[in-house]
Amino acid sequence: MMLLVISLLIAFAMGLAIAGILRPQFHQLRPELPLLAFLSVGLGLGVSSLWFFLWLVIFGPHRSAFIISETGILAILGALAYAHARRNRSLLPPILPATHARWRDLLALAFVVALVAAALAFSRYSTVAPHGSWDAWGAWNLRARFLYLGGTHWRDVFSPLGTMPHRDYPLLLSATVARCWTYLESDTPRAPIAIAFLFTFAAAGVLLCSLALLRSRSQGLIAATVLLATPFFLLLGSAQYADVPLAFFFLSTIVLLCLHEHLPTGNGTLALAGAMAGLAVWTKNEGALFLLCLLASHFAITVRGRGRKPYGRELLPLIAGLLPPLAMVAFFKLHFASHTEFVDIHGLSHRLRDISRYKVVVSAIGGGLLHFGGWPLSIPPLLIAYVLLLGTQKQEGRLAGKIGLATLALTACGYFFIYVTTQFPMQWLLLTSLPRLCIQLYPSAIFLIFLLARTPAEALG
Amino acid sequence: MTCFHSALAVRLRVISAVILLVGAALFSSYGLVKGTNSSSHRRGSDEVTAYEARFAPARQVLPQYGIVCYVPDYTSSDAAKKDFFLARYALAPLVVRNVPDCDPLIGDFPDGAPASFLSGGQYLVLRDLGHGVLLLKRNGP
Repeated sequence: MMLLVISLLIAFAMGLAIAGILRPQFHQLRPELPLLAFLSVGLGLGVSSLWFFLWLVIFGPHRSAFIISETGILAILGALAYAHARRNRSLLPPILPATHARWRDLLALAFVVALVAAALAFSRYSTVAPHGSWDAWGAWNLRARFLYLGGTHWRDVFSPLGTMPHRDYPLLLSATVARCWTYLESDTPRAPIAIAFLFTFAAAGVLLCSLALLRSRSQGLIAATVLLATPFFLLLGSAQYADVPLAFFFLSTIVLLCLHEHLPTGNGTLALAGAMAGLAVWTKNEGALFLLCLLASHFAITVRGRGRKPYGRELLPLIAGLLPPLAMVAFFKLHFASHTEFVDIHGLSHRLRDISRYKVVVSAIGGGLLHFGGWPLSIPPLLIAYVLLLGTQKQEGRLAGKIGLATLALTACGYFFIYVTTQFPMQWLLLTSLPRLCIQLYPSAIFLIFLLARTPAEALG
Repeated sequence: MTCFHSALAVRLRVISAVILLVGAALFSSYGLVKGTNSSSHRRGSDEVTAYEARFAPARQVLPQYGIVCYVPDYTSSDAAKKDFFLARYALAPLVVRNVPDCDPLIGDFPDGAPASFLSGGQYLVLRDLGHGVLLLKRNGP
C-alpha cells in the first residue's frame, strides 16, 4: 500500500513541478494551488506514463533503475519549479468574486454531501468489481499486464498472433497502471482502482477550482455538485475505462485556455493547455479528433477575434506543450500500432449516402441525451432551465469560451460521423459506446455552461 | 412598490433555479448511494477474481511467455466470448490465440467439457487442471 502511495505521489509531484514551472501566474500561489494540484494529478500521471513507456522501449524492464530515474527527474523538475517560484512575483492580488456567505455555506454543504455520496458509490463499485468492467480487464488492464508481467517479452502485447483488442489504442492508462505495478512488484487491482479514483475526483476538483477562480465559489460548488451527482460518471470512473481520464484532459485543456484569456501573461498556461491536449491524444484515439477540433476552433475564433499575429503568438506555446506527448504517440503508432480498426474506407461513400444511418444515429443521440447520466430527472432540460432562469454573462471566457464550445461541438460532430460511417454494426456500436462518448465531453460541457451562466449573486444583482 | 415586486421576482427565480438544480443533484446522489448499496448485496465475489483462481493451476504448467491456443470457439455465444476474454486476462502475459492451430491448447469449459468434445479424437487431454480447465494437445499433425 505504501509503495502505491509513493508511486502516485512521485507522479503527482512531477505534475505539480511542471505545472509550477508553467503555471498561470495571475494570482499569488496560494489561491491557485488547489487548481494546480488537481491539474497536476492528470498531468503527473500522464507524464510519468510517457516516461515509463519510453524507459521500457530504451532500457527494458529494470525496476530499480526506473525508480531512480523518476526520482532524478522529479528532483530536477522540483529545483526548476522552486527557482521559478522565487524569481516570479505574482501580478495581481487574488480577487475572488464575492459570494454571499449563506449561499456559499449551503452550497458547500450540498457539495460535501454529493462528494461523500460519490466516494461511497465509487468504493462500493470498486469492491464489487475490483478489476473494473469489461473493457478494463478486456483491454486496458490486460495491456498493463503485458507491459508489467511481460518482462523482456512486453512487446507481445502488440502480437498479431493473438486477439489483442484495440492494438492501436494509445497507452496512457495501461502504462500508468503498469508503472504503479512496477513500483509495487505486484499486479494488484488496487493500483488501477486508485488511478481511476484520482482521475474521477480530480476532474471534479478542476471543475470546482477553475470556476471558483474565474467566476465565483458558488458557481464552482454548483458545477462540481452536478458532476459528482451523475451516477454514470462515477460508474464509468470506477469501471477503470479510459473515458474519464480522457474527459479529465479535455476539461483541463479548455480550463487552461480560459485561464490564459483571464490574464494573458506569459505563455506557460497555453503550453500547459497544449500538454493536456497532447495527453488526451496519448489516452485514446478520440483525443486526436479533439485536438484537431481544438486547433481548428482556435484558429477560426482567434484569427477572427484578435487577428493573425496574436493567433501566431498563441499557437507557438500551445504546440510546444503539445509536442512531447504527440511525438510519443507518433512513435507508438509508427512502431507498434499503425493499423486502426475504426477506419475502413471500404464502402465509406455508400455509408455516407445512406440517409437511414443518419436517422438511426440522430434518434439514438436524442434518446441518449434525454436519459444521459443516470439522473432521476433528465439533466439537459434541467441545465437549460437553470441557464434560462439565471441568464448569461459576456465578460468572462469571451473568446476562450467560444473556442471551448466550438471544440466540443466539432468533436461531437466528429463522433456523429464516426457512427454514420462505421463498418461495425451501428446499433451495437451506439449501444456500447454512445453514453461513454457523452461522458468524455460532459465535464467540459458543465464547465462551459457555468462559465457563461451568471452566478446566483450576479443574477440577484 | 413595482421595484420591490420585481426584485422579489428575481430573487424567487434565482433561488428556485438553484434549489431545483442542486436539489435534483442531491436527489441523484441519494439514488446513487441507495442503488450501489443494494447492488453490493446482490452480487457475490467478482468474476475476474474467480477466473484467475480457476486458471491458477494452468499458469503454473504453461510457459511464462509465448503463445497458447484456446478452445472452444469464442464466437459461438456471448457467454463463450466473455469466457475467452476472462481467460485471456487470467493467462496474460501469454498471448492467447483463439484459433486451435498450436500446442499447447487450453480447453475452457466452465460447465464441464462436453462428451462430444472429449470423444471427438481431435485433441489429447494432457492434464485435467480442475474446474473445467484442460491442458490439451492436438492429435495428429
